[in-house]
Amino acid sequence: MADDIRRILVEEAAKLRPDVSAVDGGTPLGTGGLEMDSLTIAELAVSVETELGVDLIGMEIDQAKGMTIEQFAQHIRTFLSAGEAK
Amino acid sequence: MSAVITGIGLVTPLGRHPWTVFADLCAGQSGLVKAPDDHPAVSLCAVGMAPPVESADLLPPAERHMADRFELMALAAARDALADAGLVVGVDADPYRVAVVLATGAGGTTLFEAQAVAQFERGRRGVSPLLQPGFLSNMAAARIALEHGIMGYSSAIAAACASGAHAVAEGLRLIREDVADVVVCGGSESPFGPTAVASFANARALATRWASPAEACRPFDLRRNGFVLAEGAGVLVVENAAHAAAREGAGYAALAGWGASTDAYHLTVPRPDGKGAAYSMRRALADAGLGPGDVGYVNAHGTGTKLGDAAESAAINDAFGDCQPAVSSTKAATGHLLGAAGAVEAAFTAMALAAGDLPPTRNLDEPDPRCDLDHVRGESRLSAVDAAMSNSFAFGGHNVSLVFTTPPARRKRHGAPHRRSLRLRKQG
Repeated sequence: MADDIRRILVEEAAKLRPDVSAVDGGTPLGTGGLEMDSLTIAELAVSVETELGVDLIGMEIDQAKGMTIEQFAQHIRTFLSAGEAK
Repeated sequence: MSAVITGIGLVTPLGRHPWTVFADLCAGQSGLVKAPDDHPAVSLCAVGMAPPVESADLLPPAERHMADRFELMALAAARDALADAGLVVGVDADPYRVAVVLATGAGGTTLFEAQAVAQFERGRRGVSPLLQPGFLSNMAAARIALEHGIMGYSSAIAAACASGAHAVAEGLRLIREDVADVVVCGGSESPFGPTAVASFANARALATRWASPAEACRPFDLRRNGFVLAEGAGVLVVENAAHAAAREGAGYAALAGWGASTDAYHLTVPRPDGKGAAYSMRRALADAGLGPGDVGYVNAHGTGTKLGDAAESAAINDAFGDCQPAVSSTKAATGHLLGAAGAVEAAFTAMALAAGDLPPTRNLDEPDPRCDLDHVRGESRLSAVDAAMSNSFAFGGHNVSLVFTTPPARRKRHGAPHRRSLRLRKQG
């Protein structure tokens, strides 16, 4: 699932920002990268929920604008792991 | 020309009777619950559900099956508000000199969604010919006018979560411009359609993961994580003060000023420095002829979101400087009534002035250092303030502030106990 999350984020980000070339794990979600706001990042999260059948409601996304795609993928993995631990 | 609030009608998660609702607010009660299993918002940890409002009590038989709940709640609140004001249109006021301004954030989307499903399943014949009057945003105003024979100005205002406050401000403008002697104004919202609920949840705007619904909404608290979706309506009777005095109705409070601004920053994120909101507050103070030191209480927008509460705190600090008023958010107890919130909270603010009792912010256990305000928390604060403000901010960057003062005369206050008697009741 770990690689799937990054793959989905890269694919969905490329769809949402077709004007940005070469989206990969190192691409920033916010300034200097995809220039996404919190609602667009929430849309990425919904794509991961849809494709993987997981629930990310309650996951903090306020700080995601300062993350790269890989960092956001790790943020999602951490949230899901915490849920499994409970 | 000055205006006074002579009637209040409420349909809220804390109930309908204004002074019972206000007493519950001051006692720190919560109106928030977990939605039942068959409710569209069952996945949310908390919601604010208003009492049932039956169409059979409000509409002619042929129309009862096709009116959105936002219209029914508005009708019920308007009926209560006019009764509270002791005002019968056509008897106590010229029908052409009575106006109605009823705001809503989204209108009848719940009914529209159900009809969209029917259209998908059954085609054209699945859709009712009564759908248009059943869901259009102006139809709450229209139905109120129809029921009470109001023949003056009427309109609906849409400014998302500032809608209700805009309607009250419009009431003041209509009185001042001598368009009307009486304005029935307020807001109504029925957001519990499955799609609307999902959109708020997916936007990560809502409070999550609270085991107790009563703890979920925590304005200005360090552990806040979103707002709680709620339904309801609030209607005020705003009346020319001379018109009210002529029929011996002094009112709950004077509606003394209003201000508005726009953030022009982002569609859903508030301007972090609160400059737009601060300008709205300053405009309202100037319009009321008051300075920052004159206002003793602010009923904050305070939804319980991290960014929104911090931005409003910055704005209040900016607008009031060294004269910080007492601040509380009643949304902690009611949830966020969206397009109705501004009107319901305007009513609470007027009642706080009338009662000399400032309701607390429930769940404010540990104030966020970024929200450095004179919080009313724990219990209500007995304080005979002479002026108070109600703030409403919205998706879209719309900001509205309303200023209320104690009424110029206290001959008779329909529905409102005398300030001293309420205080004695509390102390006793």
